[in-house]
Amino acid sequence: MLDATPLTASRLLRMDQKVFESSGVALSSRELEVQLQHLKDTGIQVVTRADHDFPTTLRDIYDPPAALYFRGTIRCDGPRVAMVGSRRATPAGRAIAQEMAHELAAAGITVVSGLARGIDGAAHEGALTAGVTWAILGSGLDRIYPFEHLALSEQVASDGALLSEYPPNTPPLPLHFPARNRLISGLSDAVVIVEAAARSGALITADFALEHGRDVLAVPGPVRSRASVGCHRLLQQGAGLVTSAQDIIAALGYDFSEQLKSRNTKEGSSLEAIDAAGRELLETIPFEPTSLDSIVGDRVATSVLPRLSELELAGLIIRNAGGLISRLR
Amino acid sequence: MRAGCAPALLEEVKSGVVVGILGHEVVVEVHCSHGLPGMRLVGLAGAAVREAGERVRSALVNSGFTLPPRKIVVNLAPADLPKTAPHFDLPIAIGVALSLGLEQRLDRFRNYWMIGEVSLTGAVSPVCGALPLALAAAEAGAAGIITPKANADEAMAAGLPVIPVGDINEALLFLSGKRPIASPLAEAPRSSSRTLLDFSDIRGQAPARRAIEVAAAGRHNLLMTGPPGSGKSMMAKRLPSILPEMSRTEALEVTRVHSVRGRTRAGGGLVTERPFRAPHHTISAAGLVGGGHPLAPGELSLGHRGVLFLDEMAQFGPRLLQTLRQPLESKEVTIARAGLSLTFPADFMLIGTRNPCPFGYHGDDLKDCTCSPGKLEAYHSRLSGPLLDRIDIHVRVARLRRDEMLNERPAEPSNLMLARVVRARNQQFARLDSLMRTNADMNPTEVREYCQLESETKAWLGRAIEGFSLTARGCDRLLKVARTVADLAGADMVAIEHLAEAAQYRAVVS
Repeated sequence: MLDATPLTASRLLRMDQKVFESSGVALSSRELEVQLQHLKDTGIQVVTRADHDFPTTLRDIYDPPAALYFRGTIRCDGPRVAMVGSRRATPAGRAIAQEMAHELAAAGITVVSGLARGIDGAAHEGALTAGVTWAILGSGLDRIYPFEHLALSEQVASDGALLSEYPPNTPPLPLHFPARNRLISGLSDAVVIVEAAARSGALITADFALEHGRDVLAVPGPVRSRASVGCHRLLQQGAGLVTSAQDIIAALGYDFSEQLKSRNTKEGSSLEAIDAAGRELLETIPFEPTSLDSIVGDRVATSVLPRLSELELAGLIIRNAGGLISRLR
Repeated sequence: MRAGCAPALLEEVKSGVVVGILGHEVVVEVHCSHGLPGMRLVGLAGAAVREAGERVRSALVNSGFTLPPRKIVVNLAPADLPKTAPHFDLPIAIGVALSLGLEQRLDRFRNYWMIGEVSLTGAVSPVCGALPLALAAAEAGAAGIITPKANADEAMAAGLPVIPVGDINEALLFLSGKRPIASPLAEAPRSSSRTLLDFSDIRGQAPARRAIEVAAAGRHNLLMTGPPGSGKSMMAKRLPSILPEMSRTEALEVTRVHSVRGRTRAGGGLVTERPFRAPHHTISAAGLVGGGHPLAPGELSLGHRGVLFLDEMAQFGPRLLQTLRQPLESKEVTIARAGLSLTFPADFMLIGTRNPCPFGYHGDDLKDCTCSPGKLEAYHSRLSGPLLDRIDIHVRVARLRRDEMLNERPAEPSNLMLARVVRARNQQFARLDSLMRTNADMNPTEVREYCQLESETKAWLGRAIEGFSLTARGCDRLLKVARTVADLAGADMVAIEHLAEAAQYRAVVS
């Protein structure tokens, strides 16, 4: 029912014939039929460089993909900011990413990230509570990796977009991820690195950002924190230092002061609920993950433990799965 | 050599058999007749019982009897109950002696049960399961029970006259009324020398100590997470020192289980120390839950009314850990095998330890953890959600800080902690109207009834449910632990500070 001339194939894929031929895709009619049916079944759409929907920022990078597979909507006029970082994020790092992504999304900025564990996931989660986020995958859109982000990917697809340059059913091979990072940078106006260890994939994204001429911004961490070594190195090399969503917005050169007016009242109100002894305790808790034991120190455990719950509820400290506590504010 | 009396061809002697941890009556019938000399055992006798024939013959000869050449048939009734234990030696030997007319039994001793293994010399050696058998004898209306000397203290607990014997002759002389043996008058005094490891050895670790105290007070299950060498096992092993002594009822329940597994064979009467079982993680499912042939209780039941300590809990296979779920809920294990289904008690307090990651040092400030996120995830998921759901108290144990190591001040000893635990337990017993149930055993209805909150506290709980994203079960757990914290503080009502402390013991999943 289909003949496999490049013209027909490219039309069916809504691709420019030249692009299609140059993309090196050679499909038999049977394969093509199966692929098209699969795309239809899974709700995955294709946009090629020839389409005017193709993200413009992606056109001017060195090696843009011939086509992008996506789910959701990729029509977007506003600015896009990439937020990436360590997969082995600290709870504090996750909290910061979530909060910043939330505020960026609330200001109408699309938050772009890679759906990975750690910072990426936190950035998507934070953005979803207020606006739009895009997730760029290193696998086919029907093979979500990591698997535990399946539910998150569905939310991203319904509120924003899931994108990949890999056709459906492509496995998440290690070599796909550096290439994926190139798209994260290419799709964004600025790249924010929240936490990155000395050797982190997020640093690859930062390299691409420099290559693509995007702003590289980094969030500093505790001085001795291993999770922030990469960020600190970027800062030494001249990356912009950001401590809040406003810093990011300022770096983009947009004026979002109106949208952000209602923010930044959170800290005051959460601290108010804490009594003097609680505040005193808070001052002794470091920003690095710390064991309960060293927080309690020589004090009586029964006097410290209830106060920690209060601080936790007020969002001033956070506890990770291993039971370590770190201060957030 | 003693001459035989007038031959009494058919004799009956009563004994019992243990199935699981329950004793059942068995009648040993012995018939001797003219025919080809020899002994034949019928009535579903296991290997150990079938060998009794040879033992009994030699034992009787060595006790000074001449056995006339007779055909002897021994029947163990009921014939459908498998009999595997060697404690039938004594009843068979006595039955044979009576049946051959070597001695005559007074009528008033007809209704005595007897148990014991005999050696070739005629001496009676101790057996497993003396308590369950004595209890069954009492229930069946026996007038008394003849036991090996070492088992006498244990059998006494059943409350019927116990006749301790050292060899076959003593038993026969007693039965013929020639030499009376008085039943010991009272139970041997319970050994009160508690030589338990003490908490004064533990320096620092204030939060973990407190968590263990709360766990002990409410009998909550506890999981400690910490790097190697942080003292998790050391603290766990000191848990028995802050648990209240067992009541007599509890001691009876515990001894019943341990008796079957032979722990009391060497004597010593009732088990009075709370069991502390620490199986290695290579244990088999049958070893943990119970099984084997004949069906015997496993570690879960041996920890009944005591502590089951699973060191390095994540190393136990997932299938093993899954088997814990049902006993943790129902406090007993039911084992079904072809043709037989048995229920063993398994009301234990679970205490587990694990490292924060497969490498062991995740979140430690001395060593850098190199585990990948996937590996960490896999490690944490070894303890499944439903299992973690049944653990009320989670605590992170840190490695000792330098100032703690150098601290010369002696730490609080166990007896002070125990006093607080006992006080908190008494409050629970009064409230729950039972001497064995604790806060951890409260069902949802009881939680609502006994953890009523003032409106301000309720509002705080509402915030906690949202802030800590608690499930309905998590909320129940929080309330139960808070109830224990309140009991330790001697408070009638659960207040915010109790809830807030309890919230620190919740499990955090990333």
